[in-house]
Amino acid sequence: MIQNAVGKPVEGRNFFDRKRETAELWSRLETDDILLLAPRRVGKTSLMFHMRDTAAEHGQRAMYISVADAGSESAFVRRLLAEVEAHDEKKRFAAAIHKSRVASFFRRTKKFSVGGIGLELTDDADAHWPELGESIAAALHGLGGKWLLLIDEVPIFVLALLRSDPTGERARKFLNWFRALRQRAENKNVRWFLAGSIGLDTVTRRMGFGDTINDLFVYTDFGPFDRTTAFAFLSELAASYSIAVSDDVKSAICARTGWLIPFHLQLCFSELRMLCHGRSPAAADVDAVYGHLLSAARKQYFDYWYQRLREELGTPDDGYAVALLNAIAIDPAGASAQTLRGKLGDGERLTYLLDVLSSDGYIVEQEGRYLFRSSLLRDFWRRHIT
Amino acid sequence: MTSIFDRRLNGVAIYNPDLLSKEELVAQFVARRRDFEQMTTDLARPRFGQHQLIVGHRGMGKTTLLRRIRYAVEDDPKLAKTWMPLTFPEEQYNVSRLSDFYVNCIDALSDALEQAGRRDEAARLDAAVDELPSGNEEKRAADALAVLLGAADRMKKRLLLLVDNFDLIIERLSKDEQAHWALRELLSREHRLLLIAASPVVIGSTVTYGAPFYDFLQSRSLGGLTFEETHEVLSTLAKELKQPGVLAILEHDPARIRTLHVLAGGNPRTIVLLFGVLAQGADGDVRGDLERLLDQCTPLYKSRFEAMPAQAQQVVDALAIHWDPISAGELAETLHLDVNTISSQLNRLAQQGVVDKVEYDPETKTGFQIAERFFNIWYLMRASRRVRRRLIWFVEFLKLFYGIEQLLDRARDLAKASPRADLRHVELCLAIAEALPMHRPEQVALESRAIRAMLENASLQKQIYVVLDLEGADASLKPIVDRQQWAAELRRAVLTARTTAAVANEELYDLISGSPTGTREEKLKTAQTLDQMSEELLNKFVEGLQHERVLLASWLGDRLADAVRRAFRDGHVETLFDVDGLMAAAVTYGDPALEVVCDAGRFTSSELFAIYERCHDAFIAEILAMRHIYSDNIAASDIVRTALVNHPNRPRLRALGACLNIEHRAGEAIERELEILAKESPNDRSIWMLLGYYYHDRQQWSDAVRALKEATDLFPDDALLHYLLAESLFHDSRMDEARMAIQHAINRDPNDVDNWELLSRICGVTKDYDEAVVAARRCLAFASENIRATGILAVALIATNRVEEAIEPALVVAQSADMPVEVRAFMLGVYSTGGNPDSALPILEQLVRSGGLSDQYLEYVMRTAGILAHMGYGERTLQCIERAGKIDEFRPIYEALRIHVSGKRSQLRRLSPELRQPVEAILNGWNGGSKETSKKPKPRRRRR
Repeated sequence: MIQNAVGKPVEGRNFFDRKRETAELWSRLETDDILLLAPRRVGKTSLMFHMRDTAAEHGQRAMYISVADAGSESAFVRRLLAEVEAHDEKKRFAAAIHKSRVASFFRRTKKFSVGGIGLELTDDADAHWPELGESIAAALHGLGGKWLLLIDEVPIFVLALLRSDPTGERARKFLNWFRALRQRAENKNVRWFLAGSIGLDTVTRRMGFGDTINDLFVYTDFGPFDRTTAFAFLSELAASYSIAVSDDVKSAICARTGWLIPFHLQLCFSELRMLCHGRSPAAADVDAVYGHLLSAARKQYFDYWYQRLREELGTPDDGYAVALLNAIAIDPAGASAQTLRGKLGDGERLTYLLDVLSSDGYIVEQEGRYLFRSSLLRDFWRRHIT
Repeated sequence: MTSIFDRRLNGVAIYNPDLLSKEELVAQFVARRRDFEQMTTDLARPRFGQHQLIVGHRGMGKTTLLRRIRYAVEDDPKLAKTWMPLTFPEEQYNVSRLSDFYVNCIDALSDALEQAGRRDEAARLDAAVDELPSGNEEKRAADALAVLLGAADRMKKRLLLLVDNFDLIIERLSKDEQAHWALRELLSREHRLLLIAASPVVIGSTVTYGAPFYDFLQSRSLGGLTFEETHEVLSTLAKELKQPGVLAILEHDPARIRTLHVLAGGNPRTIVLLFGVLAQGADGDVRGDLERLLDQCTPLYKSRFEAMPAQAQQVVDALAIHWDPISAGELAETLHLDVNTISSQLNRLAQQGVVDKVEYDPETKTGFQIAERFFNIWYLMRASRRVRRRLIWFVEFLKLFYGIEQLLDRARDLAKASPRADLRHVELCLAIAEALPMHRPEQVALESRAIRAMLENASLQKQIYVVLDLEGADASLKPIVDRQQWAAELRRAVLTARTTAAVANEELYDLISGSPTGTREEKLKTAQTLDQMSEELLNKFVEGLQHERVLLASWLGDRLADAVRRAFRDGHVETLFDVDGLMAAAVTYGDPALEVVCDAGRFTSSELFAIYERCHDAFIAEILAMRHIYSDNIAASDIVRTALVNHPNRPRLRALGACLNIEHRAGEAIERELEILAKESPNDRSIWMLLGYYYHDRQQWSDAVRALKEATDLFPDDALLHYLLAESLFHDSRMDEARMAIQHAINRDPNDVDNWELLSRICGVTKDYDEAVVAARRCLAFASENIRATGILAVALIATNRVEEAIEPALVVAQSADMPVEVRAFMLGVYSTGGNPDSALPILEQLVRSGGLSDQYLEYVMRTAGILAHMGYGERTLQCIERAGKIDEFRPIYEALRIHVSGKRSQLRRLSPELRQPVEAILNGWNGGSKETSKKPKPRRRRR
């Protein structure tokens, strides 16, 4: 039984398949810290929840922390602390941190106290975030066993730092500190799993401090389901809602959806439920749903993808990007790199724009061809832009 | 004791559903029942956690839906055990920080507890709010959240946040993006909270890729109600509030309701207002209804408009007066303002839900229109006299238009209903048939129905010559009587025959009566001599008919073939080209696909698609796909993909699928499949044609030549295949062979424009200019109205240095435009002036100038305009209306003509939604309205 969930990350039984990816990630975590980069809505957070929930099976204790709403380095550290506070090992951790050099930054309070020392920070602790962060990692290491810290939305946090200091100095300082923290020998029991949608690698490279994340294994092979898995996923969804969904309908959903990420399949299923209201959907209903998703009411949704190129790339790159996307939109199978070179020449600009369009979720590379991630977006592009 | 809030209002709440008592709201809740049922069913699922966003303009029923969900949760013990619904003020203006929103949630919870009589718990919550710190936002938010979730834990319930105007909250928190992320994080992980939010606009943060709420909420849009839903709302309210007068209007004057439905844009709030108007007095008419309705809206609309800043008022004024959608650039031009200023104003107004962004023509531009359509109507009525008149004429037009529709609907229903053998039924059918405007298939269907009912009943059969004056006033019914008598006679003859056939008489009757070959007389004669046929001859005859049945099914598909055979059996048609008969059968059986069989060209793609949606016949899908295969690849692929689901083994569909490459295969695989399909279906010309087209389209000329040579060997009489072969040879630079092939095509179809055009091109390349001119002249002789054909001649003449000559033939051809015979016949019947458009136009102008609107007259003008437009006189018909100064009265016809003349149906997007509906209906009527096929050969154009 899985829920029809659109948007919100899923947990437990609602997390479907991804066996290959999780096996690869656990194997990689034996030796490396990981940076998982994938476009939004692919299911990164759900994957991280799943890894947290199954960590014990791999002999690890795990914590999930989202830093999307952390606006400063101290807030980043506070998030770590807050998660530790909610963990079963809180008492031992508090005892360990009490013995560390940062004990004085913790308020003596009865409310959250453990052995006289609580985990509530004093007002002046914020200025000492580096020492606090280091002590947290060291304390975790000192507890013994392996720890996995799953930190979500790291690029958004880095971008917030960049916004506060456009020179990049503040972000560089943080990332350097964070890299050093990961590499300390005395923290070797702590493994880091960072994730985000916006290309952290692109951002750091553009700002000239790509070296600050070069210790991380960048995992980008987290994408859509294959057709068989998508069919199985739809079957399970259909069974959960006691709706008969034929193979023809599943085929139609897959054909229409194009990029078979769970979100798209869930969205299509959700719209079908709304449309069919209890009866079994037919392939024609999938077309109707698809038509609705492309209708004038949803135009604003897609308009944004076009406007964003202008806003983010500026002239003349926006024009070049549109030309590339036009070329890619012609064929459902996308365009070869050679075709695209024919449009823009074989230069840095092409590499740069393909990189941006890939990391921003427009296109994906498959077997040497570039194609739209979403066939909905491709059809919108063909109807309204090309 | 009943709470003061739960006392009945004894009426309908227009702007504030909170004023309705719970019972009243539940009883009057009709409009969004389907959404409501889905949402509450979901809430009953274990661990349901889908956050949702309801999007709809003002008055679309968002607030009522939220209230209804609350009551459903409270009243259902299972839901109430899991959920505590929290409702909020419609606008939460006090939110400036995230903690404010959490505090509002606590307040809402406190209210809910108080209403449930749990005053102590409510007081404790209020006290906890008072104790929240005020300075440090982070701490205040964390503490407030802890209070809220702590209360949920104590109640052992999840909190259902029913938040109206969620856009306002998001906008107020937008100064701090971290607050958005924090709220998102909370909703992501916190199982104790579920959000069902509503917003009048699409919230930017939910559709912006980098924004926190991107694709996070399940979106449900509330559009305008359909006419049927509007009817149901009014009917429910009338019953609930005991207003029999309103029920009577709904029953007897649906055209009045339909007109008001269009003007209200299906907005539930306006429809509830309309109910009040109808309830006040049932004697009025649409105009009176509208005026009273507008009067009720005036205070609200006036204050809303006056609250806008001056420049926004200016923009809204121009948009409302323009009525139809308009682009930012055009609006800037109208207002003599900078386009950037207008764009930013429009975007702001769109964000506020005042203005809608809509599709436009061209598609790359965005159109803008007033979002609340009834506000636009209100504004037009308050504008200048000229503008007001424009609207009034439109209202009158709609009333008559839907009046005619109403009659036609009745006729269709009657034609489809089970036949009843009583005189009253017969008379009703004949009376409605007579009342129908002009010559309609519904008329024939009803007449056939009446006569059949009489013939099938012994007592009525005796009265047939008493009821009908077949020699006098009812002479037009004579053919129908004869036809029905024939059908009865044939049935009797076959079923009573003593034959030696290997099949039963019923089967024999099915084979003979449903056969599309042979006249009625021949069939009857055969039936009467069945007893005399030898066994061998009879079996051969039966085999022939069975084979014919198989062929028909392979051409049309089983279902449609059966329907066609039924039309033959019932006497509706005598040949497959009997358009009238097939149309009557289509009405009688309620099967629009039948109309397509004889002349698919009369249908627009959208009409064909609508027909396909209803019947899913492979034949219709194939026509559609063939039509779009090279013009709109996506549409054609969609159609074929869907059709293949129902008809996976149909070779022609598979060939179309291969051509369109719906499975994204490599070219070689497609070619292989097409070649195999063609070989396996040597009798199916279309598959060979597709094979040829496939190579042709990919410019694989030598392959195309090879395949098409084989095809022309199989179908030596097919002019189109010869043409394709010639064109492929032409591109393969094999001019001598190309010329020979096109000559074959011309010999087989000398009336085809394309054949002559290609010959002229071949001659041009081989420098045989004189021949080129001759070919071009022939081409133009058949395509006098065709701009491309004119161009071909001009080119050919220029190539022979006869520039002056190039003008005259084109003019002569243009002036003697070929008129379709069916249109001529129709015009003769209407005007008795010989079917000459030049004489028809002044008559039309005179009528338009002098006439007042009446239903017959409107239908007359509408259809005449359609015929003239089809004859290429659309522009002059437009001028007629302009010269008569009657644009406002005939605005829908005028716009339909303009669109017809432009040939761009996409221009519909430039019309207001109110106007778009009738204009689209008129255009559809024109495209499906002609009655007879031409008996003389017409020049044909191929669709490419």
